[in-house]
Amino acid sequence: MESNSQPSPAAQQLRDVERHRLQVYASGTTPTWAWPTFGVLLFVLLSSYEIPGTWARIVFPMLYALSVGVWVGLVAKHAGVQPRLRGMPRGLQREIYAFWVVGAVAAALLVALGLTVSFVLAGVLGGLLIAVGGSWYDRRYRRLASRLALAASPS
Amino acid sequence: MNLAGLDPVVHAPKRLAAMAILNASEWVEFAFLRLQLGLSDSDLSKQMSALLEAGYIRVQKRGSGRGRSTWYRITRGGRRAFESHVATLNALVAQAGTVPEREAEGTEGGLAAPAAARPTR
Repeated sequence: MESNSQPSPAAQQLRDVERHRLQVYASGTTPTWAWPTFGVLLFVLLSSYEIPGTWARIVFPMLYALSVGVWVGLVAKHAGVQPRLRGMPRGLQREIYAFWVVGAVAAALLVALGLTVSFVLAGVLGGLLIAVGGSWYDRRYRRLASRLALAASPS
Repeated sequence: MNLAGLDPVVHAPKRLAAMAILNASEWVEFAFLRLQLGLSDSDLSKQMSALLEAGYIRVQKRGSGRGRSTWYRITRGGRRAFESHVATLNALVAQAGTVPEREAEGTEGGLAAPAAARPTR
């Protein structure tokens, strides 16, 4: 078969499609306030478990869920795009799954700390962890996405 | 070679690029598309209208006043048309023996040619 150093129009179109697809993951930016704000929300939620009375068990989780919804909406509005998890490059999917697993383990440890020591302390630690860890994870994710997008760009 | 999968609405380069972005997203804002595609407002509006008319995307206006923004989402029909178009392009490339090297990592919803369309060397 003839070897062709110039990509055919169809091959070029496929490359462009791949490049644009990866832009979705590499170009959306998370605002700097996002993770610290999430940290504050987590602190409020965990600390609220020190408040006596059943009303706090109902009101604060509801407020937390509502605030997280607003948080997601504002972050998406700032980014201008909501990437789809299905169809995401495997390397990025792994990053997200790893973040969820680490998050679940950290949440379990924070609850254990709250039950055994203090929920205020768990709130402070959790808030700091999400503020710092979230921002760190976000940078790591963007770096990986940019690397993938760069690899798919025409040289 | 069956070219029935090539969709005339998706085939235009600007719309193909927009569909590539929409297919990888849940929702995309007008300004994001304009920036990524390097198009003017009017040109992007024209391309989006064509996709809207074909039923490949749906539109949602969010907010009010100066904060009002326009968001787009690909429909199921749009996704099918786009994926069929890309599969046909892959088949064309495979038949020509010029499979583009996948510089990027493997993907689930990526552009890897279906096994049947890959050239045997």
